[in-house]
Amino acid sequence: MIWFDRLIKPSPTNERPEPREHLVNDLAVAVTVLFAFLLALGVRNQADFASQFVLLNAGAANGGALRVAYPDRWAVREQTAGGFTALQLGSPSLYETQVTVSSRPLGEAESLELARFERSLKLAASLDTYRELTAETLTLLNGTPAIVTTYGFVVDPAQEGGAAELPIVVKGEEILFVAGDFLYSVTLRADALAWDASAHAFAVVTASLRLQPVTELWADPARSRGFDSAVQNKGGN
Amino acid sequence: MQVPIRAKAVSSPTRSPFLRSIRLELLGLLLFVALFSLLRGIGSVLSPSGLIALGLGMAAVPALLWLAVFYRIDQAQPEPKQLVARVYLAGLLVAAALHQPIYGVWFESSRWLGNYWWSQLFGGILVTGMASAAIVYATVRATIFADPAFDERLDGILYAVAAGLGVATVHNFVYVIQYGGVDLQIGSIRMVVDTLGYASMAGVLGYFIGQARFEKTPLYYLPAGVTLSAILTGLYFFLIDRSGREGLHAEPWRDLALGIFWTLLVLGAVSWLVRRANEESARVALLAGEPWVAQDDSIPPTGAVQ
Repeated sequence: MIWFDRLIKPSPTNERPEPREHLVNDLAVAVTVLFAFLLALGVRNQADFASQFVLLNAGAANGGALRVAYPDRWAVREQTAGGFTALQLGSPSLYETQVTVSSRPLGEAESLELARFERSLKLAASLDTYRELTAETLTLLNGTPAIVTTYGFVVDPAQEGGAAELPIVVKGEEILFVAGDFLYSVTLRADALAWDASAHAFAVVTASLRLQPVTELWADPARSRGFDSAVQNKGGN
Repeated sequence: MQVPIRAKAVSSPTRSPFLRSIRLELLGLLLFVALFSLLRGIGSVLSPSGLIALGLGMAAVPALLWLAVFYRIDQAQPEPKQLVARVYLAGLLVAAALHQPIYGVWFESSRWLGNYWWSQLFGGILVTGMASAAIVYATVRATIFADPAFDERLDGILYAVAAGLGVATVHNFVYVIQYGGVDLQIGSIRMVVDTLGYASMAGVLGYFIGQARFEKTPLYYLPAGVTLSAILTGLYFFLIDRSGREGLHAEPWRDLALGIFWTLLVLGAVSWLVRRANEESARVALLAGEPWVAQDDSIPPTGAVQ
């Protein structure tokens, strides 16, 4: 019980501390608090990026399988061999923040640009007040090109769920890319007002795809081959 | 040679009024909760700003009641009231100044702290516990530590509790503002429970501060005190939150009972430690043939012990 004796009587004598020793104590406390705060950032990081994975088109040849993460606390609404939808059930808006991943076999002579054009037409036809905001080319883990489109549209809760609320402006981001023989579409959507608050959750998805800006490597034709899920899995997702 | 050792046996003359005051203050807290339980419907007739004003008043009442309790613990050599009030206000101001930077900007704790049991526990310890312990330490150190009025170990506890109550008041203010007013029954209980937690864990740190004020301590001693206080704070709020999660409704009265039990347990242990520390110091002084003057809460007001 030495520790307990020291707790009660830290000094074996009754010697009073010098002012300098108080300053040393202050420093020790400050270091302790800063160290604890650093650990807290680590805990926050773990909580932010806690995720679950879905393996899509598991048996696909030519690296067509895809492993996508979604936030751990989200619920999977629909899941098939080639896609799923996961929702944030505690969304701050009536429109639930969500990620939808879908895939289909790539058509003969179908390019990524053509697929994106068709997809835009489809979205414009099916969504109310659809408006495309930006479109840019990024790359996935191994240099696979991906077209990322951001857009907005309006959802009327009265029509969707019968709630007498004002229409909601929804912001969406769609990542379109080819992996093996499949065309994949990863769609992130949230109430436009909640988009920034959902950034960490969406980062879980995009981080699992290793989405990044185009680099010089992308310009290297040798690296612009099809998506290789084996490489992605090796990446430690 | 005469060493003014204060005998434990004489504590009984003070215990009775002290316990009576504790009972009175607890009664005051229960009345506070009961009053707002009766007035729970009033929230619906108040304007939002009126509700917030009412809630802000509610935030300060438990802190002031507990300040009165802890002040009475030190009734043998009561500290100047204005000093205690100054430390309380300093703790409140420091906590108010740092609350948004710490919880809103640096850690964004509302986003992740409650997501998992482990993030709640470790986040509670490393963010909530550490931040409040650091604020209490800094406040006591900057305002009262070098003051001649800080003349016994128990003062460390008293002033730390005063600073801790300032921290608790800010947390209660923020709670009220975040929710645009409060459910008057659940809110009043929650404020009492939170106040109990911050005050008692600050008392733990106060014990270490009191020791470090009067004798040489190893380098790890105060960091250990800060860490212990932070761990107890995180654990306290974790247990309060988890124990009330049965089904979809909270159990505020059980939280209140748990909070009072925990507080009495912690402060009882800390007071006992102070008494033991004073006895040990007196014993060492006796062996060394030196005078030792250190009072503790067992001294009767008349001082008729020696």
